[in-house]
Amino acid sequence: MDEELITDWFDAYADDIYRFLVYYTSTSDVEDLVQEVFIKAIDRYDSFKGDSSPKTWLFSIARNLAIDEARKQKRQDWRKLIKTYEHKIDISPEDKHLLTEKKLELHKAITKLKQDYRDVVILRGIEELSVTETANILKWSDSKVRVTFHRALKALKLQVKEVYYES
Amino acid sequence: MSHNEDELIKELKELKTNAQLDPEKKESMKMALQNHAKKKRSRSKAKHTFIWLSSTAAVLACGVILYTFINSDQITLPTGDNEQSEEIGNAGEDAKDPNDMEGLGVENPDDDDISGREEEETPEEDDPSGEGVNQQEFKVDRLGEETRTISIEGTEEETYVYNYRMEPYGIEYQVDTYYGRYAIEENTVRHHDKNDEFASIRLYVEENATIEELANEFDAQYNENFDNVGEIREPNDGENPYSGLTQNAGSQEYYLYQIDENVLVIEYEQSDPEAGDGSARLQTVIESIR
Repeated sequence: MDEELITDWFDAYADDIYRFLVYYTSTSDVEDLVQEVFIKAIDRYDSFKGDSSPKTWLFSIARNLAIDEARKQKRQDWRKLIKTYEHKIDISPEDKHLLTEKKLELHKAITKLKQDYRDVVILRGIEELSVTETANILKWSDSKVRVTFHRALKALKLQVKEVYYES
Repeated sequence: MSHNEDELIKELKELKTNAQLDPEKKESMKMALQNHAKKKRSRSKAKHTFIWLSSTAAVLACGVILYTFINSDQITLPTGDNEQSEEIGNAGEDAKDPNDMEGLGVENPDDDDISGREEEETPEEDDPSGEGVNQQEFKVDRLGEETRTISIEGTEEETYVYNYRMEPYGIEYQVDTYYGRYAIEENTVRHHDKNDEFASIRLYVEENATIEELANEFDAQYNENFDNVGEIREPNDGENPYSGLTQNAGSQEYYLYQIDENVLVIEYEQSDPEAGDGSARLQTVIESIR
């Protein structure tokens, strides 16, 4: 893989990968992971057959790294995560607080979902990737993506309730 | 807190942030990635070069081995071998292996051993004799070896013979491996035993001659040099298709065969009178002329 190609990919997808890792790990300290994703892409470029887009290939690398990272690091840094939303909020401090709390609860609920549900909720629900893109990243069929997403939403509803009552 | 599915999806979408990597951090990451890609590429290039070189070396080595194998396995003796080492073949210790004279043998002239017998064939000392041997015109190729059952003094024995072809005349003949070594001397090939101590057979072609003329010359020569000169007579030569004459005198003997306008001359000389079966093995030669 030449330097030009990896530079192009980095320019095009680094921020997407960054955000994906933020959602997945529930922390904003993921710069090193982002770099690791691209290093792995360079190392494994020979196995990239071009069947999927570079973006979905990079997302699947990022997902595997995030799963490994999540195993190592059990605690999420929610305060840092909240900061990632602050810049786009232009409302009263009270509303801002409520909104932030609501997002935080949703994040906590997502982290409590089982792996498959969490994957599909982040990719389809937050990242708004298409069914096909999600299927490519997770190596599932399109129908499995649809069905699992539907089930994941149901599970998430229950989790949100639990988190709400807990808090 | 209650949600329906659409609301939940909406809330999830709102979780999407516009968070971006710090531009400075991004630049440094980009540099690091470019360096990594560069290193990876040079490592990969070195690896490919190594693989290519080792593959090429392996192919070359196989080629050389194959060439050597084919070269050493070829049936005919290259002319060059005769030039460099006049004496080539050796029938081995045939003195202890008195076989008869009817075997035809095909074997690689470089082989050392022939299973089931003790004969061996080793190149003799180089003798770059400048006796005017014209290899392009005159050469002898050993074509191989085979076994034959021959009879020596009424006893049947299995022996090995080499097949030879004399060029440019295309005359083929067999020689018992007892006379396994041979040397080209000018336009003559001389077959002899391992140590050249018992007997030898010389073959050459007299061009545009007749057996009668040559027989008269030999007769004169023999009468000059020997007391007990035999009569010129027709040889007992089995299936040899050519008309011939022979004569013996003391320890020497010759055979002349008319092959078209040329005469094949075979001279036999026995150095050691004890080597009685050497003469018997000469029979193989004269019977095998084709």
